[in-house]
Amino acid sequence: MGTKTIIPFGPQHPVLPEPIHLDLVLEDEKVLEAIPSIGFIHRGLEFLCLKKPFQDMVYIAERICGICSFMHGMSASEVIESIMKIEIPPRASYLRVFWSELSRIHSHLLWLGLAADAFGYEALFAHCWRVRESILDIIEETTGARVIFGTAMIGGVRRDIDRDTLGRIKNRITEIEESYRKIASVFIKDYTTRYRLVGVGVITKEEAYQLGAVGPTARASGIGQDMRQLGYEIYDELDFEPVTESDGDCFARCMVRIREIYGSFDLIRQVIDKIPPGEISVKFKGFPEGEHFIRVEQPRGEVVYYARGDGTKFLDRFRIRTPTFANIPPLVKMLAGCELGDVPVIVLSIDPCISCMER
Amino acid sequence: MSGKQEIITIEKDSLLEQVRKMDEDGRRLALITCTPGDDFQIDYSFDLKGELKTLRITVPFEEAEIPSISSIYWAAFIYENEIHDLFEIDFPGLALDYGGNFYRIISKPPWRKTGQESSLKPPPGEEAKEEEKKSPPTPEEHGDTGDKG
Amino acid sequence: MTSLWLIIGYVVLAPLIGGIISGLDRIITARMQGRYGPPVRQAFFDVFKLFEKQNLTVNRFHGYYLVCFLIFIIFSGILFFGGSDLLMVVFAFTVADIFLVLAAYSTNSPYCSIGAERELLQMLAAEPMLLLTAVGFYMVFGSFHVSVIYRAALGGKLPILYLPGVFLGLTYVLTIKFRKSPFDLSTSHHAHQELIKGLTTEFAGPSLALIEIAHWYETVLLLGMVYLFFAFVPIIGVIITLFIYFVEILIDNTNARIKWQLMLESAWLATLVLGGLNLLALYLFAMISKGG
Repeated sequence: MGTKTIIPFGPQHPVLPEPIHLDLVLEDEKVLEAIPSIGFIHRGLEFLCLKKPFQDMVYIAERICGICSFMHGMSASEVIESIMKIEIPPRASYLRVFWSELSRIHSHLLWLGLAADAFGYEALFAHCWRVRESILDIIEETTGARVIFGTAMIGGVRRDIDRDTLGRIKNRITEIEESYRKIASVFIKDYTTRYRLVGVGVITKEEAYQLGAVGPTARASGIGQDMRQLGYEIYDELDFEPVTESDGDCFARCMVRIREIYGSFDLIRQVIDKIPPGEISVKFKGFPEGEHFIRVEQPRGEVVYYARGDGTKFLDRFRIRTPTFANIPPLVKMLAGCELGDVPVIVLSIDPCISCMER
Repeated sequence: MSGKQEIITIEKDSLLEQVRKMDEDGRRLALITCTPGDDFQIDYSFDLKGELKTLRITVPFEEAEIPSISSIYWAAFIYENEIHDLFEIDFPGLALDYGGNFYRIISKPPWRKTGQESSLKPPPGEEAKEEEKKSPPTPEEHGDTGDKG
Repeated sequence: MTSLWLIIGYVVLAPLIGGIISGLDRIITARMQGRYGPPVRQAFFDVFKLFEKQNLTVNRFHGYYLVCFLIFIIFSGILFFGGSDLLMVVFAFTVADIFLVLAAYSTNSPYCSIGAERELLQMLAAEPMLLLTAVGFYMVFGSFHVSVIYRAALGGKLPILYLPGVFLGLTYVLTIKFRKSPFDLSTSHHAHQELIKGLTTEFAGPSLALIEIAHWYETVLLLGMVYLFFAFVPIIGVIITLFIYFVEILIDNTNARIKWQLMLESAWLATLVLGGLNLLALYLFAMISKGG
């Protein structure tokens, strides 16, 4: 007893199909230190964006992540629109919010499933993904694709949804919400689930803020920071409250996501009620000149897009800071002093997306 | 639409002092961006309740060295390691130094080269030629990156 | 003579029965999760396939330990179905497990070693209850011999009526012995634990097949112990035993994996409260009847 073991966690670990590698220094089952190393899948997408005309960048951005793909495409369009001062039609804005919120729901459901899997609750995992499947069906019905659906483009969106379909989706959303409610109650009430989540991987409000935590990780520690409050697209016309919890443990991070899904269902209903008729895209001329930062709230947190153009077809710089990147320092703090059995749960609780992170 | 944004250009020497002031104001480090142009431009962006304030410094290509701000914002280590690996800028005083192994890429990152060409972009229509000119990484180069670790 | 047939029956049929149970387990689990699930024979397909694979062993002890594991599991089953001493059964069973732990330790893999450590903790959690079960049977029937207990049970002295607490306690630790959630700490049926597959991470091909077969023998033996409590009418006994297994599957599917501290605490608490109180009651009852 008392000897130190080093357990490699990842880059290929069945609990976490994401290529992050952690060297866990263990004393029996207690983690003394966790040293992350990444860089297994750096694809150089930021550089690739400079080699392509700026309109094509949206496609590249969409392929940064397989889960929040639409929001990446949307942010990439937004940053160019801001530089070029393109006003997109309101209907396009509403549709962007519609697909964003669907993406948020399916991303959170995917996460809930993976979290259940991480603490060994296989049945819950299967049921979360079953519900997620019906969200993907809606996405497929409205865009023709399930994950990378590419409907965002500079100047608006590529596809419209007719009124009948929207009405039908509104009913379906209510049904899905019902079946989701049953699953959510397991997360909230089940004894073993709570046992695995409550008090695990605690990070205080001050620490989280100082370490630059974003998204659900920050909100679970009581920081009411939600980029949707900036009012991009038409979020300023919709009703929503950022979800916050105060405990800063894995359970709080889980609860934030569970409650956010309800918020997203509500936002989708609002969008369907309020969506105005009209055009879905505008034509534009010229090349981007100037620089701008765009921040969008993705399921995993705040993403920052920065672009600079000098009035030619190609951009000067295209920079993306994904939420996982900002959440790695808090993760390192959370892991120190935890137990081996908690490692997968804690790592998952920030919802890491390493391929996003390394771009 | 995307919140208030402000970019302040400062001197490299006053960086630590300015960053400390940001910390005292209770700002959160949102990102650090490096943009290669005629020389490196480093942007430190800080967020406070949706308002983004950016400190911009410039460093020359040769002897690119910036004091690390990870003593003030510990989380900066991740950005600084990234910039070190992609742009080969040194950050003395890094809280957690990966020594060039943060990104495990086989070939040298292309950023610095294009930066020195001072124009990032090939003229329209000549992209294809530009691609051809680039020789694939030689075995020596592989060895170089390997030695660093 | 019957005991000889039972022994032969156990050695030959146990893998078959265990495999079918494991196949049914997978289907029921799949249905509980809203999936369709594999055919019943899938467990056999898996094992046959494993036997066709290359035998990659880390060192030469590794294989011997595994064979010992299998032999001792079969041996403890023979003791049980041969109507021999229940205490011997429990100890032979423990020895078998020890060999598995040794095999895992010999690989030097960190996942395996920590899995082995957890397996030892699991044994520590489950063993007291298994022993109490043997003691409980002795207190009721005055013998550790399974054959004596079985005959008495057939004769109308139903063990469950005397040992309800012991039975519940045994059911509790059965979840540990079957390595089902919430107690699938050392190794689970799914390779997505924090320890990959824990104890069995480093076993591949035929060695993994041996573990699988040993697990079938183990399942039949443990279910045999459950059956002993209801051994008066065979058909009812079998139904109740299968029902207990179903409950185990249900527990498996409604629980997250817990940590070893809680496992140890709860298993010992169950042993102490359910098993202990039951034995105490038996003891007092014996005192009173003697005094009267």
